[in-house]
Amino acid sequence: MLTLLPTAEQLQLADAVSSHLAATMPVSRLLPKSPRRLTRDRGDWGSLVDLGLFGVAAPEEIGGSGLGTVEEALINREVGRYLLSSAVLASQLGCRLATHAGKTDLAASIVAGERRVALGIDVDGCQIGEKCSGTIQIVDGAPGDLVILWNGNGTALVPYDAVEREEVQSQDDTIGLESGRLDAPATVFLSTTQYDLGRQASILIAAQLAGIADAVMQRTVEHAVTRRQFGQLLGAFQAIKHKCADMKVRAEVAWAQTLYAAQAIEAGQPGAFEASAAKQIAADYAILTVEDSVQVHGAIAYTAELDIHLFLKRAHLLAVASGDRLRENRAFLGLQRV
Amino acid sequence: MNDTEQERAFRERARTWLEANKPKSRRPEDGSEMVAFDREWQNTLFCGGWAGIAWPKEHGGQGLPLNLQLIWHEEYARSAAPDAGVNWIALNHAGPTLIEKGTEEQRTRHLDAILSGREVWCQGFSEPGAGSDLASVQTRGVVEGDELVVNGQKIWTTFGNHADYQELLIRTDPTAPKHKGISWVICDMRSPGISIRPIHSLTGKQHFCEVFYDNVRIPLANVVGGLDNGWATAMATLGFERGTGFITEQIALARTVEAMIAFAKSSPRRLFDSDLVADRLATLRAEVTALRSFTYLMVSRIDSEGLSPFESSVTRLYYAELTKRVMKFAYELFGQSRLQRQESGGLASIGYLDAFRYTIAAGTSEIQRNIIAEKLLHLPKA
Repeated sequence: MLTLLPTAEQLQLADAVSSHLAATMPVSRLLPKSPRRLTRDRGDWGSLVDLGLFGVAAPEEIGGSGLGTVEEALINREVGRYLLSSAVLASQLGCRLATHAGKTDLAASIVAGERRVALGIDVDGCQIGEKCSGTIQIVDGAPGDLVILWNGNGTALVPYDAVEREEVQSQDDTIGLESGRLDAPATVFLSTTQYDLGRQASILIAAQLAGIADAVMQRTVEHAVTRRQFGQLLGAFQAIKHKCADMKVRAEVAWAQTLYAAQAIEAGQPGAFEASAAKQIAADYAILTVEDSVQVHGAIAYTAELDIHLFLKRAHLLAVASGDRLRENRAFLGLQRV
Repeated sequence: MNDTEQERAFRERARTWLEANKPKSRRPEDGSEMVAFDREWQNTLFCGGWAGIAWPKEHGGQGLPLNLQLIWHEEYARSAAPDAGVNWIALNHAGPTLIEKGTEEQRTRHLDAILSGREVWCQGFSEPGAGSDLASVQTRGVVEGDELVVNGQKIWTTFGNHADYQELLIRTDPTAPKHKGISWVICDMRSPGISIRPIHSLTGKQHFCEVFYDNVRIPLANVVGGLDNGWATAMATLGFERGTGFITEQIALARTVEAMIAFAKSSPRRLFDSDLVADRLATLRAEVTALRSFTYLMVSRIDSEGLSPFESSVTRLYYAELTKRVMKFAYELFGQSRLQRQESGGLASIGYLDAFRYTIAAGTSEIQRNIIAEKLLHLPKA
């Protein structure tokens, strides 16, 4: 039957990634070194390559690990906890796309960290096909990168350098954000009928959001058992306790749906419905949890000095990463767009 | 998820049996006709070899492993067979409690009768002064010879006026701290000294009762789990209620959301022209999907590593709060006509009013949050 539980090997893999990130890329790396400016960060790419992060599902012949969606979900839950750059997400997806398109050299170069992929976000319904055009936002892009874009039609990789770009000020100082005009042929394109990468993207995004929800829940509980007011621990007050309990429920439920979607795909089911549900739930719940966490932490969480706001901003980034929610809703309900 | 060969065969067998044997007539809404209907359906399940699917074989149940239980619940919900109705407490509370804590004699007397629909049970836990604070029950039981003499009052006793037996919590040692000195006893509802007042719920239907005890004599042999040790017995009982007993209802909730989507699609008011309606229904559909996944994850965990009894509070809290959100939006979909009592495409306007019980019964949402916070997150007690 359904074996939703990950295996011991799968959990070990997630633990290994988690320990490495805790030691080398703690969230505190993003906090301001000077009072004004936060640190922009794509992470220590070399060590992420060594972890095998970009080729989890890639064939072993090109340096990948030949694993599946469950492993990817487990790893991305950890990636979410440590707020790694969305270029990490984009490069994982880019590698999957290149592999499925038979662009073995490109896939291998992403696994090896020689080529990076930045996240592109469709702003106003762009054309995504053999030729791509429209307005996009690019997150954490750099010269030489490819940019990944997807919608209901399919998924494309386009050269970063082919996008007419303008840096815009991001809500989140730890990411680079550019607005771009795109009118260029795709380096790689697969239609949704050829390969539904959107489904895969939804699961990885959901996993990162579930990681955020869980990490922030834990951080909030730690705060509640540390800080005292009125002569008792914050966590002894029911108003705080109940917020923490709600966080626990959200983290568990979001992760359960993500895991179900990943297991469904591994079991050979289409999984698009499950993946879409996971992304929606995880986005809503992660955002609610971080909002509650700001409230529980109080004034310090309104400042840039505590890192909780970074989780909030990242949760919103992930929530919009796969495009317009209203369009997604209608697809999820099996409705035509009005 | 993909069925194994054995699972597929079981699913097929369950589906065929349910299709052939489920009641053809609609379940009467109340009164003795409803009770007779529920008893007969339970007896049909019993004769067909489907009663007590989670109960161990040696106690007359089917002793199905969790995966097959889940498939049974799925097929049951799919067949739209009536729910356990007046037999719910007996099957999900009293029976499992007797299996875990009862004496051999108590099991022999009741288990078979419960499975075959011959005994209807009700719950006697809450009192006017002991709701969420269940451990302060005051209904008094005094030992006299080999009997307990019971005086006091219970409330919110669902189907109390239809029940043959009651799982009754009484205070047998008033000098002990409040969690001690409580006993869980089997009370024959036809005992002299019991009077029952039916209570109508806000839906206008009669659902539960107030029960008064005036020198009711109960044999000491009816104590379950030991005299003055009833709190532990009661916690076991509530653990069943907060756990897998709700799977069928969870599946039914998912069906309600599907009915809402169909209702919105076919409505002449073109409900899906509204992005708000689409957003709310997509969210609810995703949430009931996630509820199912969470339950499956819990089942996988029970199967492989066991589960803290407190984990069931997470499921219960999510299910209860989600049920209220679903029913409220279903009500809103009726628009102006929500003022009328009506049913359409599997949706009933009364559902919204009825749903208020979910976050109150079986431990309020506030109690569930306290359990989650204190037992799972280890936050300090106030």
